[in-house]
Amino acid sequence: MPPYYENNPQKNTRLNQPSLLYQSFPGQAQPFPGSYARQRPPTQPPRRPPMPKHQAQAIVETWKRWIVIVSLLSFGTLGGLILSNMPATSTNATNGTNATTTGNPLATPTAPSSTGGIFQQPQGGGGFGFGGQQGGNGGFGPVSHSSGS
Amino acid sequence: MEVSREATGASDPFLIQVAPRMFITPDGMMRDEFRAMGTTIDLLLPDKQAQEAARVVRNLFATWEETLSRFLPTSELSRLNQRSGTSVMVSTLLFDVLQTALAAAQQTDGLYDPTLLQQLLRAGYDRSFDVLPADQPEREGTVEPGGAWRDIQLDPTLRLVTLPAGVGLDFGGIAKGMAVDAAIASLKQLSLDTALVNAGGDLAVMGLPDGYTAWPIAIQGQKTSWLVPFHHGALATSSVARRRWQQGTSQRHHLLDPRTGEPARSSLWSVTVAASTCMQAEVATKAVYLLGLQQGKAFLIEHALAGFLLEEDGSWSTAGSWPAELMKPLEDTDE
Repeated sequence: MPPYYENNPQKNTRLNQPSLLYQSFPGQAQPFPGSYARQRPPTQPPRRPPMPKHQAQAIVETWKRWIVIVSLLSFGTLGGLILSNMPATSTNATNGTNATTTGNPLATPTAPSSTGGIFQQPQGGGGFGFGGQQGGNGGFGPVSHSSGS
Repeated sequence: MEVSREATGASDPFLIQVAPRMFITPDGMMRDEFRAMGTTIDLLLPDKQAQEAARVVRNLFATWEETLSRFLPTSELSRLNQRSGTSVMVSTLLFDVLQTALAAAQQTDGLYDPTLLQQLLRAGYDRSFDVLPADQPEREGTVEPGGAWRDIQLDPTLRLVTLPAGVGLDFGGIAKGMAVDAAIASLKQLSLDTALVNAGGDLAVMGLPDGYTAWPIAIQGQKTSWLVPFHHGALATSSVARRRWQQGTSQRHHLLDPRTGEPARSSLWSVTVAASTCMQAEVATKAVYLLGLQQGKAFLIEHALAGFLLEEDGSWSTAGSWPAELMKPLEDTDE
């Protein structure tokens, strides 16, 4: 018989009766050994004296403080993540002044990359480069041109 | 030889320019050429994949032009410009180009400005340059400086764009540069390993033709051109030699200075920039041209780019890793 059944005599209804199949499973038909059994000894230990009110209040205050701190940190982190993925907005209408950024969803985009911007050179290769000696092409003439369009 | 429109007549020595068309097509490659985005698109593609690759690139440029041309009244950009002051939902392509253009404006402190449409119209550049009359009448009104890009509002979630009332977009070369980059990306998706895409002088390359150690690219000057062995990346050039016209008694060109709203004045005749992408190179050439020789060089070095700066008096200098020692003069382009 499980201890649950023993310690809740009021709930000892027919619905809570283990089925035959349930009873036939030996692992569940026996009282749970070990720590669980020790936590629920047949004889109740003497009750502790109730916690003093000021101690309880102190604990509650500590918990409140931590809840506030954790909440603020969570909101801060979440807000930072959202802002870092949201384009900034240009709010300054005056010509020649620097744009300021806010979290307005109607936003002027920042650079494609926040670190190097549109001129950022690719990492690990790519970029641009010039060839070897001119004679390396065997005196070939131009294949194309770059001129003002 | 293709003679540019400027060669047809003016006393201005800078107008006497003949675009070299004696380009070599490397063995194993095929050249394709077509008009789009107001310029000539020149492709070098491997023989075996040329047909399919050319079709993809042609379609790409056609789509970009239909979406982004300010000269097509039915383009998405034209419709957006007509609805300034209200929020308009736009396509992914237009939104991406606008986002990049605004980032470029921000990072050049407004030297690149995509909101100079009204100033360009006032200067007489109101139709495709192919059909622009050489003489334009003076127009009434004062010229406003640029900077309206700071007031554009975007909603990335819904791709909503709100232009300030009365402000219009003209992306200029950045759209062309981005189209070149997109074309190269498309060719990579087709598993091409060698190609050159050139949109009116803004070009990008990948791989190398058989037997070549670099792509020999001609950089055009006033009277002399130079051959530069370019290995990988992109090149763009900005110059006032082309796209010039007369307005009343004033000589106009398409490079406006956002600080004044007027055609830019610079000691530089042309700026060629090498970068990872054609978009980067295109934006940098405009910024360097407006900054002038010394500040322009500092800009290039700051951004780890390389440049070839040609001054009006014919002298030239380089910045960054531009290989002056590898440049080889070509024959005079005067005729």
